[in-house]
Amino acid sequence: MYWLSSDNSDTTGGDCEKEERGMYEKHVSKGHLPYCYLKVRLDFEDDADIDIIIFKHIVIQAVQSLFGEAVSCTPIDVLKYRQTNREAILRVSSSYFTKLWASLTWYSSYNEQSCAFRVLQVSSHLMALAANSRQLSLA
Amino acid sequence: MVRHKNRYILCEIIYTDNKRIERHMTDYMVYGAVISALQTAHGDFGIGSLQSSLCVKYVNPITSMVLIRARRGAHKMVQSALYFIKKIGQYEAFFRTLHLGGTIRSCCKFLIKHHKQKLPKLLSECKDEEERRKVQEIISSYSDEYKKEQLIASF
Repeated sequence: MYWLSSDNSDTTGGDCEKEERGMYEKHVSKGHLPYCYLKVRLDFEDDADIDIIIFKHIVIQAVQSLFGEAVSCTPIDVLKYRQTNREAILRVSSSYFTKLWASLTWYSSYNEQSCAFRVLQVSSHLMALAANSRQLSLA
Repeated sequence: MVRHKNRYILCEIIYTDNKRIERHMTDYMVYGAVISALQTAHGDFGIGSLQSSLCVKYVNPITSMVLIRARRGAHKMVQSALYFIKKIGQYEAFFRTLHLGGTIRSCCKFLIKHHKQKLPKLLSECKDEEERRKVQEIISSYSDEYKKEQLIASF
């Protein structure tokens, strides 16, 4: 989120300042957006039947094993889940975003079946996950 | 070279049964309780970042005082994990943090001051005349010392 400001009241220096006004623009950053969105896929070596509840449980378990209860208490939402290829869109508050990503990377097995999370896309805008530039085909 | 900084957490063990008896408390038991609380509260990351520096430096089973060392910065994780301890070894007990110091010396200074403040309370709990006389003697000896120090400082 960026805000454009035409007011340069904090700079000092008489007439010179008036001439300079308009030559540059002051951008004020309002900080990061409240949420981050991840598009992830859970890959198993053999095929496994994982429904949305188990998927959420796996995500929580991954965070809990690496960062403990202190981080796993943060709200992590599964916005969309497709069971056929175990692909999901996760939403977290952006301050816990890196921690979630790290714990997904570290997760390696569920019920003694080896598995891995593939992070496909990451964005702070949900709309950005609608299209993937890496999967575009130029016909 | 850079100085390796530590933080020392001075804690008091409070037993839930509230009995004044001497108990068998070792540094290993305290360490085990802290490390398992750290595992549940901060996971593998907490263990990994504190394993090299976490150490129980001093345990006094008579006064039930404990001194825990942790790396500076990561000591906050230890502090937050300490709240969740409900059992130390086989005893139902919890920690009460008294002081957070940068050196063992500063913690020791605090501990002496803390014990001196506790003495008048002990006096009221004395059962017979012999005990009462002993405690009074100790209190008067350190108050004399304190007066002398003040006198020297004023010159």
